Amino acid sequence: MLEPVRNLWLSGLLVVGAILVSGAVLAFLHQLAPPLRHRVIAVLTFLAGLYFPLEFFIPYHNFLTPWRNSVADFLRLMAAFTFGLGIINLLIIHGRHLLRWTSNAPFSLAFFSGFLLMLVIGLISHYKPTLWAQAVPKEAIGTVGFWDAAFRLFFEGALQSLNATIFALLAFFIVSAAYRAFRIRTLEAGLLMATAIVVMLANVPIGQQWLTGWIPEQSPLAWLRLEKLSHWLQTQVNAPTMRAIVFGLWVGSLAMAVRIILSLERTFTIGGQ
Amino acid sequence: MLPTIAEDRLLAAIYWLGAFCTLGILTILYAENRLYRLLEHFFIGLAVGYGLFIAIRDVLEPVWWRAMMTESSGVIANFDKSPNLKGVVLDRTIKREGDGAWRWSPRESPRLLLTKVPTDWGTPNYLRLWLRSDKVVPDGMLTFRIRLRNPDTQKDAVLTAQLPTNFVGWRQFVLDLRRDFRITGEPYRRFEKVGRYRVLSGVNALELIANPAVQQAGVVIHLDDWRHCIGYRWWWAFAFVWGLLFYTVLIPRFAWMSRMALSVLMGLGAGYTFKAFVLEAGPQIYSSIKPVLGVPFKTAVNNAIFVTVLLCVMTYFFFSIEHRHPAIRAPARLGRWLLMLTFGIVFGNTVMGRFSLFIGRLDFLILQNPLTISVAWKALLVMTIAFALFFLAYLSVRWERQKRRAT
Amino acid sequence: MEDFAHWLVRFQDIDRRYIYLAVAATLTLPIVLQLRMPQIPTPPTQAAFKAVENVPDEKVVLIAADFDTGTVGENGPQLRTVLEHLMRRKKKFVILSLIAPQGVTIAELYSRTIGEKYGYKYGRDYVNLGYLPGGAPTLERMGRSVWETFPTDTKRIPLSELPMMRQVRSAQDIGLVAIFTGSGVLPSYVQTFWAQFKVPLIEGCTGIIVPELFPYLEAKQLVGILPGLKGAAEYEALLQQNGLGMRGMVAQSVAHALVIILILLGNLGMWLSRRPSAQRL
Repeated sequence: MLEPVRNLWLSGLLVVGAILVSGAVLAFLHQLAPPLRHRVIAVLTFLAGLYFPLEFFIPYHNFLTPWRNSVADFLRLMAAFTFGLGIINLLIIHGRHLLRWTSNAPFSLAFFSGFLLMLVIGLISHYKPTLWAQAVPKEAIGTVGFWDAAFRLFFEGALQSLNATIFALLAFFIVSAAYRAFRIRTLEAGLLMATAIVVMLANVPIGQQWLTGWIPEQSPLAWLRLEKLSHWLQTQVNAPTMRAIVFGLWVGSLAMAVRIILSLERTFTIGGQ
Repeated sequence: MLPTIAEDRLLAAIYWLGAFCTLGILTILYAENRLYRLLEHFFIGLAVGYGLFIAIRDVLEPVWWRAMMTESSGVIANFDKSPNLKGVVLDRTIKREGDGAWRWSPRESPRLLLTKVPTDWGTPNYLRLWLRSDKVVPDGMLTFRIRLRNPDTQKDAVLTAQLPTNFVGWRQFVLDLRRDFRITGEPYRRFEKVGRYRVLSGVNALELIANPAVQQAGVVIHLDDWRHCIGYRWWWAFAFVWGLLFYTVLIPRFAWMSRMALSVLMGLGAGYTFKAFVLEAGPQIYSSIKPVLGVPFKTAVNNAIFVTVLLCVMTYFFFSIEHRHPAIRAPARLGRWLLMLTFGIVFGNTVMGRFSLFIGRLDFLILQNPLTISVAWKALLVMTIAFALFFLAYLSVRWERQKRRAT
Repeated sequence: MEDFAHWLVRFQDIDRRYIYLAVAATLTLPIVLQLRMPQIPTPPTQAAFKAVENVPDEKVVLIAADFDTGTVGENGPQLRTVLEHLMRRKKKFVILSLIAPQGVTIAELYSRTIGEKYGYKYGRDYVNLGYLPGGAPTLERMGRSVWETFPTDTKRIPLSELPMMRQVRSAQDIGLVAIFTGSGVLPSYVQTFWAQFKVPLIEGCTGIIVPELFPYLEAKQLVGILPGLKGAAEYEALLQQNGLGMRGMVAQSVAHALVIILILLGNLGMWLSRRPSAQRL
């Protein structure tokens, strides 16, 4: 296991050393012939793929267990590092529009202003909330610091409203799609519509209260109450069907996992060659 | 200087900006227009900027940068307040940091017991303690003890270190928790058995005992700024390099490196699938085998239905055998119908979900308005803004149409 | 009659914008009138409610705010009512998010506004741990040791200095995981908190993924579900609270009725246009 060091200079030296060593290893790999490189990638993938299964299936704590926290942190960091990849693509696309001042430039400007606003305000409000701004007195109730307020304004007012409304548009599209495309031409479509209508009515008070609310809870016909019928459908028909689908997916993902570990899935390892 | 903002004014600003954004996006229902596109791009910018901010705030800065480039430390004691102990006084002139330091004369009280210390120390690997002595005591020795009661075992444990007093002036003692301490009992929490540095908690007292040589020498000891620390974890530099490899995808010559970085991550993920299968799918397979006998009649019928549905749908998805034999064909067809029933349920729920999102927006537009007017007026106000924005959208569409005609 | 049939057939090619207008109008009316109808709680919601009630006092609840602002219309009311419940019962909670960076901010804002009513204080009664990407392996790491996984909270305070977090070290100190999501994040929690640490899970989800959850409910990997806005309304009914869910359900009823009527009209129109007499139209 690696040991944390106590000295900033030593640590800095080790950081630079680590970067240099990695750079040297990469440079060495880079001058290898591509087939050899692919073999290196395949071996690394194989070893990485073995880590979790071996750690898990070898009973008790074993020689791999001490590394599981570091592997988890590594995955977490990679998720954050790769976040920038998408951003760079967006920046390149919109930067190009702006530099050439195409017809799309005003929109690219909107993109950049949104991006910088949220990033800068977020960072200031988190790291230095008193930058050029009055500090909030400790006893003050109902007062917000400037940068905090700006962050909330753009988060709740703009980001949340825009995102929620973009999703809300789907309500309109699904109605128009249902009206135009939901045609009962076959038995299958009929079955689909029948359960859809039962579920839609059972999910809302008018179905529960007005249509079948009059059936007493204790009567032998209580199962006809929409919410009970819908619950039965969801637990006895939907649950096993979904489970069958999920079992299929599991078989697929296990097969895929084996293919990845053995580097048979080459689209992302060596570029589909 | 930027002023502080009153909360109700902030809420009003949020509402009006939110109303504008909401209605502006809704103008796409009339037609694709420039106002919508502008807001859409603004939204993408905000979302990406926010995501980057959170990635920095919650992952890159604390987990990577601070671990690699800083020593994380927590205060054990800063000795800034007057002690209520015999032989110790607060000294405001001789100090390392803060308001003051403690001036301890071991001759008056050879044993110093600190009980007001943080109980939980996280996962430190060494301590930094500042001590000052006014003269050298060659064979003098201070015994430093950490007393704790492990919350897991409910047993006491003690960590003991020896601090020589062969110095004059301030001196910082750096004590490694594994190397410099003698441990009796089990001080570390149980839940994480593996790894070098473990959670130390339940600390109830710190002790500093002067040996006879120190007592007789009449030396005065100052105490200030004690911390527990985790050192620089320099090896995260490798993670940085690995993270950068992903960006080589932008340079075709080095793009193979990004594929290497990605394939190792994919390998790790693929490996986890096996573990996940056992942990998640295993119990589901187990719970699919249901009893039909020895249970109440109603349960038996429901169980039989459950298993039949499961088998029929699985048969439908079983493509290794051609669906020709009636024993396969009939259940497969039933499976198809059952799938349709399920898709109906999915559709019904999807419709519900989509509407809920729009209802949430309507609720915001109409009922969250901070003005003190009746709901009808609020609705009218929203309709007026909507009308103005839709008119703007109409103008934008017309303008674009004219422009297209002109070219 | 013939006129109606004629109209129905032609109605099939109606401009979609009229349909949009009808949707907006029918949904706005119940909201403006603030109509309310009681919602009958279904077993999954009742089970979720009971699970929250049964959290031991010495343990905290993990609020997994795995939704972005896009699905706030559904997950928002669910989260609000569950938070209200937790605060009424004086239960402490920690917030994190595995896949959605925006969720943690929303959850913290809600906690702050609802918490004012109940005197909830940050650090003492709830803590925001932030965004935790990396999937099940990182969640597993957190279950083993919260302190090591999160050096600080989102306000850069070390966990050892937050009074509430002194008691929260590992999954053993978590009594319930309440997930709020619009996507399929549940498996990560099942593989870790349920399977490895034996912590019960409940989920408030968007309508679309409700059907996917029933296999988990059946295998008892999930204790309860709050299905969509309806789940929030049911939970509010159990809590005897008049919240966002209740407010929306009449509008929801009208919307469902509208969809059903439109589907039926569309099919009637198709059927009429297929008749030989309609071929001339």
